[in-house]
Amino acid sequence: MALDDVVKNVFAQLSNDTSLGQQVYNAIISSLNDTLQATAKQIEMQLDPKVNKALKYTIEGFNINSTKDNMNPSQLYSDMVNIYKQNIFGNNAFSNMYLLSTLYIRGLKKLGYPDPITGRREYATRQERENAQNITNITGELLAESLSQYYNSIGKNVTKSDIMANIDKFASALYGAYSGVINLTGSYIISKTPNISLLESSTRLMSTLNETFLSTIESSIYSMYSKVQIPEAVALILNKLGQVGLYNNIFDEMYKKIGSYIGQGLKQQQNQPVIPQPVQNQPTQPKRSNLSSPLQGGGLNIPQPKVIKSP
Amino acid sequence: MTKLALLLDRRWNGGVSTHSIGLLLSTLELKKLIEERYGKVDVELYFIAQEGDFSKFYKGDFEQLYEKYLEGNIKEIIKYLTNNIYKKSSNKISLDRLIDELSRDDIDFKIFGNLGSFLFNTLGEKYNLDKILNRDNFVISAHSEFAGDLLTDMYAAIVINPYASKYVSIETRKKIEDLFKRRLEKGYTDEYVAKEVIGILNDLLHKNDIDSIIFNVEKGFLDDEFRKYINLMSKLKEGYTIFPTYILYEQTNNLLKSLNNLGLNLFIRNPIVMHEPMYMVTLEKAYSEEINIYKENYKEIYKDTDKVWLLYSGRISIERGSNELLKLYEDLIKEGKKVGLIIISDNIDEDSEFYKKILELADKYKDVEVHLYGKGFGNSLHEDPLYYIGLLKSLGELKNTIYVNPTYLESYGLATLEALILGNLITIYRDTSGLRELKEKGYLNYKLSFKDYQELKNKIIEVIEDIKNGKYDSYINKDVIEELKKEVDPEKIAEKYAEIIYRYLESKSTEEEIIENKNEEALAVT
Repeated sequence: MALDDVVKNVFAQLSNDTSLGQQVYNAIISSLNDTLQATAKQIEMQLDPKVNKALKYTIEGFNINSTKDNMNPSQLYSDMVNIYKQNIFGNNAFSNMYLLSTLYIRGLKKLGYPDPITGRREYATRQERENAQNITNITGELLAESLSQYYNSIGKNVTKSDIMANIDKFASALYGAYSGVINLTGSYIISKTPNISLLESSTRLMSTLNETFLSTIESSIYSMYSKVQIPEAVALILNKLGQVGLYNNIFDEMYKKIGSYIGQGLKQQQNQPVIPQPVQNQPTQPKRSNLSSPLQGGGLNIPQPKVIKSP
Repeated sequence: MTKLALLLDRRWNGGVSTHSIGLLLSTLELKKLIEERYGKVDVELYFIAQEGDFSKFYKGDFEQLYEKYLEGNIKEIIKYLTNNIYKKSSNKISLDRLIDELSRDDIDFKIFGNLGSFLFNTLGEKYNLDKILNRDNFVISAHSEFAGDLLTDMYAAIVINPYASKYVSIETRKKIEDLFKRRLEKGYTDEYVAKEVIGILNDLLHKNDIDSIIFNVEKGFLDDEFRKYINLMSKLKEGYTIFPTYILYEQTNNLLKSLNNLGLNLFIRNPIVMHEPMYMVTLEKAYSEEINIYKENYKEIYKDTDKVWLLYSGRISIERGSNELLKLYEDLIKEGKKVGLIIISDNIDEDSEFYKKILELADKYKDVEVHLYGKGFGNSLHEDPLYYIGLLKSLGELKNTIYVNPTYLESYGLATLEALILGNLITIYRDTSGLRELKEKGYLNYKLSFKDYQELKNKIIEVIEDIKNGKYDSYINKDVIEELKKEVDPEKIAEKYAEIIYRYLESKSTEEEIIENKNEEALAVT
């Protein structure tokens, strides 16, 4: 018997051993549980404006701009979150697929592909590219699975490998829908007020929430993958976690946590001596031209080219 | 009151000099931003200038500039730098005073416009750095890439210099030449080149025992800069370091890895990648009417020609690819293309070889038309940038010009971005380091990069045809240009600096609060 046959036979016996299967499963799940909890703790810290200064400025900007416009920041935030949730999580069949597509395209972008909507490319470090390779493998697999199940459920006969052949195109379409949600929250603000500062701070706030949410899911996948370096296994577990509402629940916790700071005087909480004024991004006032100004060297003495021409 | 210090390095031409103007404008805006948040801000302004072989130091009047800034008098602010108004003898200070003032404890945050400020003078000596960079309250901007600069220096001193064969082995010379070529071909300094450069330098400095005065002078120079660079890098374990591109950051990291292999422990704690401020954007906003007048003037010159114009702006030198530009122009003329060439450069004049080559072309072929602007001809556009903006805008509106950047080395690509942002010009550029990154980020048109001369020529011919067929706009993405324009606006850059400073100051106040609380707890216990 060849050596690979020896291995094959032994593993055939192992795969029939259900008690071993259960033990391995328990060991993996327990290890992943610890890892994911540690990741969640780190992320939670990032949701604390006292730690995450960028988040702090975003929330402050939103609070200040909405209050100046006589609008209730908490109400506005809750309206925007509802728009986000309705569009992203509102459609059960597609919610997970929107998210998987977005994670898949974000991974592709890190691998050097252009954004399918803007055509922009982004730069990633080698480590990010390695992570992105794993994420695209995992999410691509899951997305194809979910899509083929969905199409079968509506009577369209398509296999997972048919979907896989065009996975980039499916993912791009769904990613486009996902990306549009921030603009939807922006258009909601515009329907309420012509205040552009409020529009900008609102979309910044929602983008921050969205970005934190997506990177949380990415970090969870990385940490799972760091423990179980088998993309198929991670895909299986992730799929299950999605089914038991992991994404939705993570988002809910995040928006509540950020929401607890909306409408509050963050600064006063931190006992800061100076109450800050909102940062005014006023452009430098255009000055009317002064043609006799010295920079010009006096009068309309515009430099003319030195011309060299064939005779 | 918050106290800031700003050190601008005016010793260099090109990108570093342009950056110092943008950074001054950003710091003026920064004062406004921080005052809105924390109340009064005081900024001490310092300059390093080159006078003969020496670095000289000046202290500027920031408050006076701030008043002008609030009035919107941007021209006066720029003139303060470009016309050397800061160099009044009463503003001159000694190196010791500069070090003393920059070491003061009451400075909350320090902004250094150029990492190279600490090289080529004694600021980079360890005892001085220990005083100036004594805490983590500083941000410093990197512009060039040290391993690449070292390689260029070694190439000039050991490969090009014919006397070097007397004291450096043929193998070493060949190796340096190969590394130099590899870097040009790749368009950046990879890990291998960085490692080899450090290895060769180490051997040259410490193992070569041939007694040669010339070599010892070169050795002393390289040794000195190398040592100061290491001193400086060891300080970047604290503070914030800004890079205009990721690729420059990666190249710097490659060099640090090679140095760490020699037993050092160097790393950059807080790297930040962000655009450089483009002062011309501020000028454009402040003086749009005046620029309009210049634009109309230049339109008169360039409107009635049936030519497509190639525009080059920058230094004339081998590494900038200017020879290939001239070869391109010659080949296009030879093939009967109707093209003109506009060269904007402050480092040519009637005695330069480049100028003589242009005269030869005009003698040899029909239909040659080259327009030159520069200090050497008394018609510089860079001394009065409003003219330059006017010219770019006129060419952009006439839709008959291609901006060509054939440079082999570019850490950022400010001039290319100026042509794009201010003129909306088609920009053809070499696929190299900083420009490649701008392409990958989607700022520069993907279709317009080239790797070698043949590709440059083919693309230019293709674009010329498209221009003739009215397809100029198909190469221009106005949305991207608008976005980019916002990102490089010195006001926007000021916001980024403000974020860095807020982050620093607020983390310090939180730390102090914790310490105070702990002290109180300790008191309560006792």
